[in-house]
Amino acid sequence: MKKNYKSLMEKTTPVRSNDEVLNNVLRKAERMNNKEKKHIRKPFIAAAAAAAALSIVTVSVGAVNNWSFDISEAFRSIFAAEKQITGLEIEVPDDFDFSKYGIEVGQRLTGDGFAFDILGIVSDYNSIGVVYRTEITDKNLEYLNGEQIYATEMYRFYDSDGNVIGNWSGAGFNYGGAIENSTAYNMNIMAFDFNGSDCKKFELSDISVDCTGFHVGADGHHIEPINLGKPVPVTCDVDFRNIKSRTADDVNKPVNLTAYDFGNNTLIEDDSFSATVRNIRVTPLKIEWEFDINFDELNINIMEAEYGWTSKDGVYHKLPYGGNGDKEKIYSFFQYPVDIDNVASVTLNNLTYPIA
Amino acid sequence: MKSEDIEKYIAMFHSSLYRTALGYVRSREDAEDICEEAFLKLLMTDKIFVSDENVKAWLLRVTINLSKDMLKSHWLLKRTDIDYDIPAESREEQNLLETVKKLPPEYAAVIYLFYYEEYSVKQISEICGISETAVTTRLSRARKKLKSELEREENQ
Repeated sequence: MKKNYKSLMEKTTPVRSNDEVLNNVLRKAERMNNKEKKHIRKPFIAAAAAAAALSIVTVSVGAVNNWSFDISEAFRSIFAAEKQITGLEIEVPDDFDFSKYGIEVGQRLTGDGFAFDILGIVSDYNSIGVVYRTEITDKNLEYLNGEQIYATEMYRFYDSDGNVIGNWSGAGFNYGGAIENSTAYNMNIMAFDFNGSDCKKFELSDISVDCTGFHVGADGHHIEPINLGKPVPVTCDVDFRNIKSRTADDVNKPVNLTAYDFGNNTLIEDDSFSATVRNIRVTPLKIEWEFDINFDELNINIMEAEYGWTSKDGVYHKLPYGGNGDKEKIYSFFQYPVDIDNVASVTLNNLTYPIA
Repeated sequence: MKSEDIEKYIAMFHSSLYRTALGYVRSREDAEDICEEAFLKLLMTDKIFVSDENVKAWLLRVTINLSKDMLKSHWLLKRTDIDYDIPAESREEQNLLETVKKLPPEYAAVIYLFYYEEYSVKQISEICGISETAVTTRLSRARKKLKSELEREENQ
């Protein structure tokens, strides 16, 4: 089936030649350049107003009162948006205390038309999530596209001596982004191995991509991207060495799993197999499983399972199924804040493992 | 970026961008317009890329965003037709084509990026700007949808 799919895609060829595309692109670029020159020669009020909207006049950075917002509101909004995307509901108890998994940041960037708060950071030993809120203050802006605000080369990490020990370049991915009452919450998660590192400072910097907003036209349908400029760097002191994790104490059980076997020329065939669990690690961001799978033989890209965790008071919290492991024995089942102090056991496909 | 670089990247990535856009907008002309817009953005950007793969990922991301924007446009919301076809060599291939065309746009994109471009779930999450959970869920649902549709067509 995969062979058929690839064959179909090979036949799906562009209708315009590469030369035609190149000529069209160069012609459009020339038109755009001419238009800009024309505007420079003959400035007028509307253009000046548009230019003002297209650039940040003042950008300021200041501290926000410590956790002056309700972090749970951010997470609930993020989970609601995730549900819209995946259709999967993440159950969060009403009294869930998110703040104990976060390192508060509380930095605000403000520009023309928007305010941007970095609310907090959640992290475990090999990944970090930045929770932020975007608030639209210009009524002409319908929404900001969160994924384009934070696109590339933006986070940098320092040790206690001020040396750069790592940075994140390349797009992170966002959870959430639902806009309600002109406010959007997002969580941007990146892989970064803090294990054993002396990370003491986090910096948001080197944003090479401008913030992008959208202007809604008079007809209510025409949406025009506008450039909001670049926010200034934000720094804050953090310490990732205190991140906790817990492990299961009764592993070595076989579990049946379903996988996509990418190496077997199949597109839609299931491939079920049994694997023995060797270790389970619960971190604030995910439940991580280590199996005795020979990934080189199976060439697994995606695995499916029903799983969740049970709190000490006996309430089961089902989590979205699925996961991925790139030929490694460690297999993560997704990044959502887990109440690690309150986890009594984790369950995978009806097998339950007590957590020490 | 220089125009000779754009020429090189059109030769390298035009087909990939076209297929990605087509999965969303289902119209050859619209997909081509999106490709041109993406290459235009590449020409105008002052961003420095570290590799051709980096350029490709950036272009795919732009293509997906442009495709989503086009889907939001008023006139496209009213349009339901699919104006492309591919000469299938067998009944199985024809069935698969019809089934792929029925996939929701966001499913078609991840299926294409995963099975044809052979990106990992993590890479797709970065290109599409969605979480790995969302990528896996879409792949899983698309896969099940393909399976049930193909079985239904085979039973007819």
